[in-house]
Amino acid sequence: MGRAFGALFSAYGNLLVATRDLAVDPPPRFCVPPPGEVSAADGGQWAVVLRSGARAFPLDTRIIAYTPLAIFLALALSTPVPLRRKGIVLAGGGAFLLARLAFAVLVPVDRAFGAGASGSMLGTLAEITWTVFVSPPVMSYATPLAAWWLALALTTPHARATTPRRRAASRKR
Amino acid sequence: MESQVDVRRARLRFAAIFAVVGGALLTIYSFPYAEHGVREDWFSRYLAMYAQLAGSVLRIFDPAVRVVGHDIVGRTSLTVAKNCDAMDVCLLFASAIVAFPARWSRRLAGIAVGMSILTTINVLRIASLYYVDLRWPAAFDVIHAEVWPFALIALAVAAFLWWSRWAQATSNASA
Repeated sequence: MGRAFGALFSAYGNLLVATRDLAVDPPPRFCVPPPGEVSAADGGQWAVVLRSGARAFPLDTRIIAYTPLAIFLALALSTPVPLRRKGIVLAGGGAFLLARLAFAVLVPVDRAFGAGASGSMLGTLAEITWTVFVSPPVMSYATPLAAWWLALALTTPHARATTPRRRAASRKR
Repeated sequence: MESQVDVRRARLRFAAIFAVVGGALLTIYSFPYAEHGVREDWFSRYLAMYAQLAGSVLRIFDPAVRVVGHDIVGRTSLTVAKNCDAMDVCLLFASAIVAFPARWSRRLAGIAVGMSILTTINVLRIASLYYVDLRWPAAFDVIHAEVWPFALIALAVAAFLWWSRWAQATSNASA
């Protein structure tokens, strides 16, 4: 399970890294390491490795990526709402979580390979946002919960306002 | 009667206030303070106090436990670091209460009681981690980084839901 998710994560991570103008040769790439290469403390079978030449950074994908997506999917799929609304909740919340994951991956990649806005005011802002909203483990649980709740709140169906005056008028008829 | 549009507007208002207040509080908490500055010194003392609190609970069961700075030392050792104080969960809980439409007296009561409960549970969490590291070291990472954060968030959500029902019920009763 961990290795299969690691392969999906690597594909997404490599798409993200390809968008960055990194000043390193060869360009860094995510890959699933051979079994046993990464210790359990660094993620074990849930780890992917970001390689660039001789440099290699292990990354545990479970807390940062799998847990939020799994919690969100479980909440969205088990919510008793019509199928169309469920689809919108899944698409909207899923897109939000994938955007958060992109941010979670790219800030450390920029930091490690000195790309993008690192060192500028925008880079500092990104670092603070990353420290506040990505790095604490509880955020991996709070974020999918917030995404699910917000998606449900935003898709609350519109209904004609049922005011007392309108009800009284319809009773007269 | 409240229409669906009003409900949606109220929910979005709640979400917006929650995001702004929560974001501001978490930024203040997580902001990287200058090393050896006044704020870092204050924060270090606060974490040491937290370690003392957890250590005093552990001493009930293990008299060999002592606390040195942020470290709880006994048959195994733990370091109380930033985020070990569950302040992020407490701040999210407080932000949700601030965002919910209720009287300030009820909000303050909710924040005081809720944060006390979360802090108590968190001290027990630290104490439990000492025993997990002692008896089942292989399970430490899973329980530390997955089980307990999930349990704390679930507890904070449950406490918020309980409080919001109480605040609405007392508001309706006094109206």
